Amino acid sequence: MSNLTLSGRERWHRMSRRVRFPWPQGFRPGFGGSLALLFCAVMILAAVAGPALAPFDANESDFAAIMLPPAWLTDGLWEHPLGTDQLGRDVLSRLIVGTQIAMIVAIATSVVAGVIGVTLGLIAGYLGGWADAVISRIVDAFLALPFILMALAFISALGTGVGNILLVLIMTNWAPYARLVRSEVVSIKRRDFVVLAQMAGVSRTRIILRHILPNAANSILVLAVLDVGRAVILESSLSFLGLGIQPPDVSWGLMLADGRAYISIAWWLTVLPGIAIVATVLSFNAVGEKLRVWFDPRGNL
Amino acid sequence: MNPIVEVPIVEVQDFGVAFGLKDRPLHAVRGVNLTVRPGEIIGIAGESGSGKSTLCTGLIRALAPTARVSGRVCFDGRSLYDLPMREVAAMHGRDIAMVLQNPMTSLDPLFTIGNQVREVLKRRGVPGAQVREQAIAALKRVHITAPEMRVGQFPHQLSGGMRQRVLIAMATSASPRLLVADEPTSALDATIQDEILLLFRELRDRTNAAVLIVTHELEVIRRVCDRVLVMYAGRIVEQGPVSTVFAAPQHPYTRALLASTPRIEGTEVVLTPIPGQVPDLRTLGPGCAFADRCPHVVDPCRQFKPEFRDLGPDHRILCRLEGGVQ
Repeated sequence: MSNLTLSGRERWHRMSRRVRFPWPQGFRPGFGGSLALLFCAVMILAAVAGPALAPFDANESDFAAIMLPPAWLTDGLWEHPLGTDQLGRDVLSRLIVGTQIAMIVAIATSVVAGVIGVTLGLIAGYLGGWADAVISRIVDAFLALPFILMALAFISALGTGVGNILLVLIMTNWAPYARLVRSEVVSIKRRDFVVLAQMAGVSRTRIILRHILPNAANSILVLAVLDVGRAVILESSLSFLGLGIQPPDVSWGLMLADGRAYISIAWWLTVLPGIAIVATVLSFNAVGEKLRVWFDPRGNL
Repeated sequence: MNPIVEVPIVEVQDFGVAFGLKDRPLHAVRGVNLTVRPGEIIGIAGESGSGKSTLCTGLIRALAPTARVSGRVCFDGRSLYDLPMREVAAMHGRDIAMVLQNPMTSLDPLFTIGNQVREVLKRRGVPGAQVREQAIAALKRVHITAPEMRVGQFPHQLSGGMRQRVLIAMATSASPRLLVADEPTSALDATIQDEILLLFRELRDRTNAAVLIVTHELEVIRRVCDRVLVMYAGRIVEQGPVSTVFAAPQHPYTRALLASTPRIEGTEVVLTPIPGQVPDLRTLGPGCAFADRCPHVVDPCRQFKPEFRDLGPDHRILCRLEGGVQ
């Protein structure tokens, strides 16, 4: 069979047999997973290197080149591969610079919200009783508040800016972790190996850290990586509504908002940031899934 | 045996466990008097809900915090329920071990076998340099093949019988003085049961530990135990040496329980079920709890509390009828 008649998946398998990427032992991301990992790596690189990678300054206007289409269309210029916006700013540069804020906000949010939520969830689930009642009611309250309303209230009280957006996202994102972890802990702590550990006089902290947390880690990881995607969307939504990142800072949501007015004549101003958001969220979700399978010892028999 | 070593490891006087509301308590266990000597294997038999497991967990102070305990339990001469919890926890890690019914859920799925065995050894104070060796030795003792390979495997890579052996290895490593096994073979198939039961005998012979085996299979008790306790509705109705009790059960309930085990007679499988239900512990009358199901019931049984009667060395029953109910 020649290489041309093979599907992408088969070709990938053949190739990966010849060229073995040095994945850690037992980690088999497959074709889709490798693609997602690659994309995530590119995103993180763009976030770290940021402006250094961008061909233009993200806020440099060129009034001679307003609303140029992407290079592969008629009237497009390779100088601006993804076109320019209504002020003649380079879309590619703005996308790259926007990655920085999207990644910082998303990762910081899921890490900080995760730590807060997981800690409270462990306490509520393991101790039960009053601790559980109090923490669970607070979680209920936070889950009941509509995100946008809460964001509006916070932002109008505190003002815009990356720090405040982070604060709002953490405030609104920790509760699902606490609820998930609490329910996991409640079921794990009744399992025989925990009962035996308690029986053997192992300390509370040690049981929580050694037996309960690792057994809940899978679900936490899945939620955390999904949460990175969610945070990207939330940050974009806030910026789209004008509550988030403010110019001259660049954000994908802000680009969407700016491009909205020109959607009928310059589709790339909304479609391209949209693709960036979708691809980021999808990639993080896919990577999360692969990691989950990898971490589960039953997964790689 | 030399009477000097016969110091009991566990001594229980008028032990009772109650759950539920203060004014309407549910007595899961009551009036238990029991002495466990080192090197003794005791089987506890009875139907579901007769208080077997509650008694065992009560004996080692591992009950749920909602349980209310009365009476006195001495472990190694110290009153267990008067000690601070910290000291009891230390005893649990060192002197008392437990094996549960289900080997499939008793190991943490995320850690290797070796890792979990080593954790127990470390807790029991085995010096770090020896931990690895001793873990392998512990697995070898329970007849696990290729222990050097098994220490690197995860629980899901082992069969149920193998896992129960690992758990017994963990429970018996570093020589506990009392091992409580709550239905250790119920989740295993018949061919494995025997091998597992033999492990308890080996442990006893090796370390002179006392072993308590809770089971609803009388066959298990007949095979491995020295002494049997038969429980009904939270009380011990008959206790005595296995040979005596199985040869000539004296309490009508013990007799009914033995008759309800299937036997093969010729080509037929015979069993005699016990009529009626286990009584609701909440609505027990003043008399004997077994009265409603007892074939030998007489009027006083329902009105007066039965008394313990000694029938021989170590053999006593909770029944007012004289031995002659054959």
